[in-house]
Amino acid sequence: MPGRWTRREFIAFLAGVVGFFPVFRGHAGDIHSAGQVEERLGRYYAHSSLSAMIVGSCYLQQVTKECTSSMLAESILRDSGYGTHELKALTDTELFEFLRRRISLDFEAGRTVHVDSWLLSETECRLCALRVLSSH
Amino acid sequence: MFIDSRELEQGRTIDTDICVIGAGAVGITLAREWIGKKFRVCLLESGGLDFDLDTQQLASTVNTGRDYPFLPGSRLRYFGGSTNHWGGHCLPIREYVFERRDWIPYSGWPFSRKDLDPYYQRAHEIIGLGEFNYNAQSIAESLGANLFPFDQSKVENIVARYNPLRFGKAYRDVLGNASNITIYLFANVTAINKRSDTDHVESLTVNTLAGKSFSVRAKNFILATGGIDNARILLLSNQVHQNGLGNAHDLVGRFFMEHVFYRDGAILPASKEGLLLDYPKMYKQADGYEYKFNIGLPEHVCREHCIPDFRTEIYYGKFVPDSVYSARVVRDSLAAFSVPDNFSEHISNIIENPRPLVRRKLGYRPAAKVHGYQLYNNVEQIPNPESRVTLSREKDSLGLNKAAVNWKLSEEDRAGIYKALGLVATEVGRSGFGRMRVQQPMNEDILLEGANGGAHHMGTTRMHSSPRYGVVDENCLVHGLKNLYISGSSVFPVCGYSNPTLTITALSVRLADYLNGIMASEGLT
Repeated sequence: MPGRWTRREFIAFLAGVVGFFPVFRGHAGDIHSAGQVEERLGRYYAHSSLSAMIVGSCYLQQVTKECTSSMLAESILRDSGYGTHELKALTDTELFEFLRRRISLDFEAGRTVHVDSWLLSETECRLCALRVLSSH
Repeated sequence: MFIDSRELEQGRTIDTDICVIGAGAVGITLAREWIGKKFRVCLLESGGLDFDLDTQQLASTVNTGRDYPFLPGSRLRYFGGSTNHWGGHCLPIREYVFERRDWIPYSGWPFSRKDLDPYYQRAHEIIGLGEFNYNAQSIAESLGANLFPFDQSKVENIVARYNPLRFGKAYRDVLGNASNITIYLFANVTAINKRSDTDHVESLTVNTLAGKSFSVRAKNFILATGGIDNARILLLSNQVHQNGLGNAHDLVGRFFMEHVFYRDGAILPASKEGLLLDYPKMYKQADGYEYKFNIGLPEHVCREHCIPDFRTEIYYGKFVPDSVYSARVVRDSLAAFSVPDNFSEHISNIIENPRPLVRRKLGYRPAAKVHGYQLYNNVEQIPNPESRVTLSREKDSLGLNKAAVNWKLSEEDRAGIYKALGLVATEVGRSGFGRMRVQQPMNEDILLEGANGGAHHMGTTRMHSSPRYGVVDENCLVHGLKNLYISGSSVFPVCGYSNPTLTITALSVRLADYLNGIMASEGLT
């Protein structure tokens, strides 16, 4: 039963899609040299800026206690077995795999958030929120 | 042999051994099973061999509940009944649906799926469905079909088999040539007659639309007129018992169930490769058998989360930019010399994003025609005594009260659907396949507004071993009577997510065997 989606749904569509193309732009060296964990995580959705901004803004409005980059990064890494030092040592591929697994585990454990009726993982929402904060 | 009842002499009495009221899937299956037996079988069909409007109008009903689009056109009144237009979707009811489920009130059948399996296999032969195999994985492999890559312990693939067999056409000749079977066309049963001092039905009163009447006497009677009219005829047969036949516990007509078809949920795949473009199509095997894949929740998930039997059909979802949609609305309205609703919003959409319009004007078409999937959920309705068929004050052209249908859904039905959709959405995300959206409406004035049924009328003469909870017993015999049986979806106490025709056919084969045994005890087999 194909149907028509409204603009609002399309924006939501973009928002939903954001998590599915987590490809880093730039080189590993660039990212390592950035130094800050928050900044590195925030670049996870660098390619999909608009969508990430929409999801991230919604998340920041919904979860007001995670209002800084460090809080968001800390939440992403919590109970993951990784600290900031370990994260810095990861290559892009390893970081991608870590986040992919983390997102999957979020769904498994029910750590999910509804953003405009889309069921998203907390980790992907936090990554988007980092993107929002890093743009300021 | 076929006989046109309009040509019978007025007031005649027909004597037979078994009389079946209705020549749809049930009546034809029963008669087919009895070809060549020593006992005589009489089939009474309301219509003729083809559709006619006057007869069809006898199926007219009064809707007293929520919107329900499947009245009366879904119940065809001519030889073959509603198999004259069904879609052919076949799935057996799942094993655990036959069991008592604590989270589904009034659940459980008085026998198990294993008891019904041999009859399902015979029903497969009757409908022409091929091997009795519903293993989605093995069928997909044989067809080269790609299925959703979900963890099968969380969300499973389901396959349905299809053959929209027209029972009337398929079995007309073989039944017409059977020496022990007589089919009376244009024969409308208006009353089932029983004396107050016996527990046997004595006869049926039968009328034609032309005003003739005759009666049929038999050793055994089977009511097989569908999920609404089975209840209606029992309620109308109130000459001896005010509440109608078989209705000592006020159950006839109650527990009217449908499959709740409800549209909500959209899946967006993570990649173009995730767009399984063939998934929603009908697959046809070299040997001619047809299949379609769905997804659903495994039994243990339904148990763990206390969810009714749930599956969902998958259709393509296509994005049309707002500006394109608005341009179409404005164009069509202006062509009809009218101004569309929300005119300013449409103009605003066009101004905000004219690019897709310009591109289309220049002949460019979007590369992706499909963006994802929409879900059309098919959920078992939870049995509800307040959802019911009663008699209306309105009368049909035979002077009989029409059926009044009050289809009621409950908060539990709604909650079950959304729990199930939440679990599907979780697996869509967990597996990395994509993300899913569920637009659960809040503060609904009407529960699950927009939900349709599947024209599957079930539950109104439900089966239970106790007369307190069922109209018929495990052998389809009406409680309190010795020779009136009912077959069809009206006897389903619970329905699961499976469309009913395969199970109706299986139950009818089972009843045919049972009555064979009864007739054998009288030396008539």
